[in-house]
Amino acid sequence: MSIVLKMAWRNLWRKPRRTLLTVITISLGLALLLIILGLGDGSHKQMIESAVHLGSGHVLVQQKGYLEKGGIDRLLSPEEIRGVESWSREMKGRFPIRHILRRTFVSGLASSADGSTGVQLIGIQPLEEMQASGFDEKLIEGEFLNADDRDWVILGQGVAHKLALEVGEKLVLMAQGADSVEIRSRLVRVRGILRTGLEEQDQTLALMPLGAAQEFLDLGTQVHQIALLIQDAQLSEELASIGQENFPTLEVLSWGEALPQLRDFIRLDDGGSYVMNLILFLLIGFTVLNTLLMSVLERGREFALLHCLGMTPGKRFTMVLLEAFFIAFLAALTGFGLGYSGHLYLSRSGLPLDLFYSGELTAAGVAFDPVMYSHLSPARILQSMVVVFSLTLLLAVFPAWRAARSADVHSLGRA
Amino acid sequence: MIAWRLGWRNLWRNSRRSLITISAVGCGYAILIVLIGLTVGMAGQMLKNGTGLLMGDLQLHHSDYLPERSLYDTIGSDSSSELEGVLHQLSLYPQLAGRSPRVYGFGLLSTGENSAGARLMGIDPQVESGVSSFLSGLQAGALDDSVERSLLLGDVLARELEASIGSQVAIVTQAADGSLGNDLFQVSGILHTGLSYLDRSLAVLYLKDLQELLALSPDEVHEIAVRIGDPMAADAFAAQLNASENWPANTVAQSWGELAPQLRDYVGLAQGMYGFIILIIGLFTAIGVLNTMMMAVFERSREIGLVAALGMRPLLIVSSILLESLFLGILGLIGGFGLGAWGMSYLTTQGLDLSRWMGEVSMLGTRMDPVLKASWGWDYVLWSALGLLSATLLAALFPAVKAARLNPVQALSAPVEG
Amino acid sequence: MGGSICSLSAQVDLAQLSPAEIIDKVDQMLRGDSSRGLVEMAVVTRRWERNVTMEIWSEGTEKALIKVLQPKKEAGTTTLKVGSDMWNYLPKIDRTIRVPSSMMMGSWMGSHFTNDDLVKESRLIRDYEIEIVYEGDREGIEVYEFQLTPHPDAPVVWGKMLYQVRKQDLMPTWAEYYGEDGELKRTMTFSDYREMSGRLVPTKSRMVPQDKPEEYTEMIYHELHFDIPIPKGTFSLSSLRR
Repeated sequence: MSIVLKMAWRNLWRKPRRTLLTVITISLGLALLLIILGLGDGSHKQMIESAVHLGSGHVLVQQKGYLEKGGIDRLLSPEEIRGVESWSREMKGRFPIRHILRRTFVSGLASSADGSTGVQLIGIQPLEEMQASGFDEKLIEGEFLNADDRDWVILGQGVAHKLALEVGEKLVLMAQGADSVEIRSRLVRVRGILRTGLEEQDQTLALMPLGAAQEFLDLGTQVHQIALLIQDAQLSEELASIGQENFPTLEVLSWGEALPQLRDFIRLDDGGSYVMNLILFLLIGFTVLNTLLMSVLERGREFALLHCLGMTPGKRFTMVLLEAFFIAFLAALTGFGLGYSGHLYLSRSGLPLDLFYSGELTAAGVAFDPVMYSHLSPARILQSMVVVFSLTLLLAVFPAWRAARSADVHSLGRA
Repeated sequence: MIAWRLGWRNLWRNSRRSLITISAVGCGYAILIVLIGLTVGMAGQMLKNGTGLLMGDLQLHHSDYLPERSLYDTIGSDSSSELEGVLHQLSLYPQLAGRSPRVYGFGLLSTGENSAGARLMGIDPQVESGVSSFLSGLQAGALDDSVERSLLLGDVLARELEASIGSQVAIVTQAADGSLGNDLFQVSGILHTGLSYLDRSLAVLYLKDLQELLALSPDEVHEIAVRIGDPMAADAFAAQLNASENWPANTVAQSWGELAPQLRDYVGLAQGMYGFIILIIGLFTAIGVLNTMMMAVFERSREIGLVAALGMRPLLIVSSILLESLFLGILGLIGGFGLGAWGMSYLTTQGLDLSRWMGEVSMLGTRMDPVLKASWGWDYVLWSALGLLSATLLAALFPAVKAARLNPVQALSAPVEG
Repeated sequence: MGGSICSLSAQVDLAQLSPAEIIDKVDQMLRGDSSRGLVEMAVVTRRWERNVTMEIWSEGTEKALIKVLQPKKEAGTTTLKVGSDMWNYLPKIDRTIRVPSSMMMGSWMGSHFTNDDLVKESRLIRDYEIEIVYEGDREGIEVYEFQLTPHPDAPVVWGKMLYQVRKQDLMPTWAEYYGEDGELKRTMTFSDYREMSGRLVPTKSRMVPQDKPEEYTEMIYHELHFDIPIPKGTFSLSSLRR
């Protein structure tokens, strides 16, 4: 057996150019696969994080029915809030929970001397949101909120434009409070203006400190939502289902349930790249088959000679298979090396998308980042390497079988 | 002359090897054809989705209408024969596939207990389906002219109002004469477009009913949506209309690209990204072909040495090898084209069913069709053919030249092949 | 007799009234514990012109009922305001519709007044600091000019208001509304001073938006009765239909 092994190895290097070409071809295929997967996963991750960090969360806890119907009266009571928050803190041991945020939502009217427009007023905890979400990064004018800013708001760019407001200027907010039909009004001033890139949000967004919102709407210490932001988006569903078990009277949602459009978009995009990858495998497979087959066919004399020297068909089969094994192994290593360095570059500097488009792009309710970063999990890398490796071996079977069969002694006499 | 014959005959001296090489080129080409077809098809479909649901390929408005969409800026506001004139002008163009006049408004809908704000859209259902497809989302019922003041509601809106077919809905709106337009309508259909911003706010009625509600004359509309044969020709068509002599000065035609630059951007992005990937895959295929060709030529060093020893000039050697690979390439391309065309014939009709991955996905305000159909991108197909052929020739060049320069004695005494 | 005593007492009172009290009087001038009036509203915009005649009942600042009499097409359309809620009754379809807060900023009956203008029970003295910035002769008439600056917390969108009032009878002549940026946004002018139900009031007021000066809304009071008994149940949804 060890002879066969040694022979297989040495066979490779008797024709170094051919071996190298084959290895390079396969490894390029692997590298390309890794890069495509990395960019795909990276862009999805970016989209998820982007959506989750702008007023949503990886896991959301709300009163039952809130997702579908909303309503200012569907609140979480102080006991429920305490319960959820202490459960979240407990879960920190098992899950990488980074932030626990409280929020209130109400739609109302904002008016200035120049006009009025409908707004979605969100009560947030400024300090925590600044650390957790991307809101403060989207500021284009002014500053973010402080916790004790009772009379200051941040407006979406569209709102500020419609009301012809600049930082420091005043507006009147009108909304219906909880438990009452009365419309409340409050004078506030603009602390800052932000731009998310999502037209719907920019045209209606108004942020207010939680305490001020609760006071304005007579909510006491109640809130509409507790959002959990975690390190790894993939754990969202698990955490959400544990949460739902613990709080059967509330609704505990993962980001996929809260943002079904985004989830579907990612699925669609994955579907598209699935097709791409399949095609790539076809190409790799074909190249491998072609190369191995060709080399076997060229070596007809050699095999005949070996046969005469007493090498059994079985051993010849094994030898060719081992050659393929070595090639696959080398290709996997170099492919990984190439692909991974490509990934490293793309995960640092990213792929600038504005080569392809100008302005801003949104899909499924999320704004596309102008730079796409690569993200590869060890699982993905392993998957790809295993697939390419096994594909190569699998495809080597036919050429190996040919090698085993061909023992045409007559070829020995040919030139 | 000899080179050609030599090249051709050399091809068949080792038919197995040649066939393998030909199939390398052929399969690579077939795969590229399919990939290009899917990408072009996808871009076209995205476009169709973007424009097909509601927008149309072009839209005509009063020159002041966009972006504020004022109730008063109608086609026909300046002169009563204007609408007629525009419609007549449009009909003169053979590429016109459909046109649909529309009126828009905004109002409060109320059913006893519940009320909600809605976008009002007045259409002529008979011509509308020649331009857009959103009416095919009718879950139940339809605009009915046997019912007085028939109304369609988006399904989410209907739920909010707790209205169903047969319900009476009051619509109140600010009319064009300053008064409060109001009337009772009967729900005769429920609409589901899959786009939440439409389903929760759209109310569709007959054009003439909305004109009456808004106190507009029957010769006034806000928009005419137009469909033509080829969406890609929309920009040119819009320009042609705007420049034409008899076109009214205050009416402006805009293509989907001008109305929804986002859509244009997205199609561009998708094409760019997939084009990038295709390029890489094409390169990859070329390398594969290179690989095969190089091996084939190198394997024949002895043979080449022999003919050199027999006196064949290096130039002849090189050119016969090159021609051989040219034949290989061409045969491969022909075979590949056949294979690719077969694949395309399936994909252009049946397409790829991606519905396993998709629920109802919307992108850029349009709904995505789960079946991806391919369509021929002839430009790209041609370029790929040229690219692969050049790769084949290049692949053969290097080893051919090297082989021709070999000392015949060395070549002849080369070790046993393998 | 009432008239002369009124004007006499007005003269005497003048000297003792603070700016705030004067403004409050002006503010409340068209209101009373209750009132009933016949008003003609003319609205002129770029696109159309309208004339609407209405009957208005009010009780304090909380309740108001407005019924359209002319033109025929809209006769019977009635608006009810109770507190911060508003309803419209539309005779053509025989329906009562609640006006949601999102429509509050829409113009009321196509005029340059908003639904909100009607609904808000603002009292100028509650929301503004009032001071006299000019006292003297303008075009032959002795006037006060008041500057009204909103209190820091007052929920009003204006940066300031300027009010000119005739000294002799405390009749307003014009009011200017400014944004916080100091830009004039709209102007209201008063004229046609007549005695109605024992009070001197400006029977004509016209609102002109600054950005569209060719447009205006003009209200003319043909009749105005103050502090009259109003039957119970007038300000209720059921009465909308009557």
